[in-house]
Amino acid sequence: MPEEEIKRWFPDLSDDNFAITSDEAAHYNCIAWAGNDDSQKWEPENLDGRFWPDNLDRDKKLETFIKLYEICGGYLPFENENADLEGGFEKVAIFCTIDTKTMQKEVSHAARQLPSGKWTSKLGDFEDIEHDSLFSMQGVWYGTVCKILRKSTTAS
Amino acid sequence: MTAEETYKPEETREGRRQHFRDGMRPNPAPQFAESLGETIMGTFDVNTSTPNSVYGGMLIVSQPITQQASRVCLLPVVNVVLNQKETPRDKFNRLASQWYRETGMLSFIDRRAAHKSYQQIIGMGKDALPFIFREMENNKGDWFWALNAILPEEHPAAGETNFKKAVKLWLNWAKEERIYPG
Repeated sequence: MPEEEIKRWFPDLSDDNFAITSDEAAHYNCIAWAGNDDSQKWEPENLDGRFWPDNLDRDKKLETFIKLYEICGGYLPFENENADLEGGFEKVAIFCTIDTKTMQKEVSHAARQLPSGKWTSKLGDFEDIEHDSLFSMQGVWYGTVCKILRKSTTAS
Repeated sequence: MTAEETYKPEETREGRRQHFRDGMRPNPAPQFAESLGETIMGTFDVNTSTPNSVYGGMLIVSQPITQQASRVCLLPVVNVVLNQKETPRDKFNRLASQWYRETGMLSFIDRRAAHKSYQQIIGMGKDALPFIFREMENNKGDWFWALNAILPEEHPAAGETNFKKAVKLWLNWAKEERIYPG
């Protein structure tokens, strides 16, 4: 997908605050990518070609995805949650939109913080991008950041 | 007001010329033209068009503002469906490209499959299968929802949670069944 098209979808992206970092790929999604998995889709839909942990609810509630990242990546909620770079931690931000039928919050996207402090997002079937801030991914498509999790990156 | 109501192929040639002349001067209304892009599809038949209907690569559609005045909208001809000549391949390609363009950034298949183009592809039934498998072979898109809808009795990738492996299982099945390549 051309950069210009991506900037059209996400108007807060500009030449100096994001870059495309992969080719297009349909075999993994943003949820998996945020959890450091580019080999499969993490998705609650009970359909061929989706990974979802056993015994985890198949829905898009925020609580379900908090559990998902704990089970599959060891990410946990933390006090004073913020998007700042913190030494020894890797963070995942979960975005939510409002389902207009149920008026309930549902997960729409996730991004992972890189050691540089920038964030990486997989855009649906399109490319991975690096972006300076979470703010630039917010908007019509992905809604807003509603939870930030983190895990320790230091050896235990 | 829909494009079907506003675009009147039975208008006289001179009438269309007048609409074009009137409309181009004050307001080409590109936003309205864009919004019409969807509706006009399937309503325009190239066989009955006149040179004034397609002008410089653009379809001309008049939008009444009042009973006395109209403005003219220009739609890229690429969006026009040539009803009587569209093959299943053309139809699939048109719907699939619109689906990619308008949902490709979404993360979950339930939202993407609700898109009208994807639903229309499902509505093509088995005619769509060779093209769906072609896309899967090219690693494009997510077609399992459509396959489940078109072939509810077939489950060649049942239980396979890895996307690439599930694609391969479906492609093998399609080749064994001589559905793909078509």
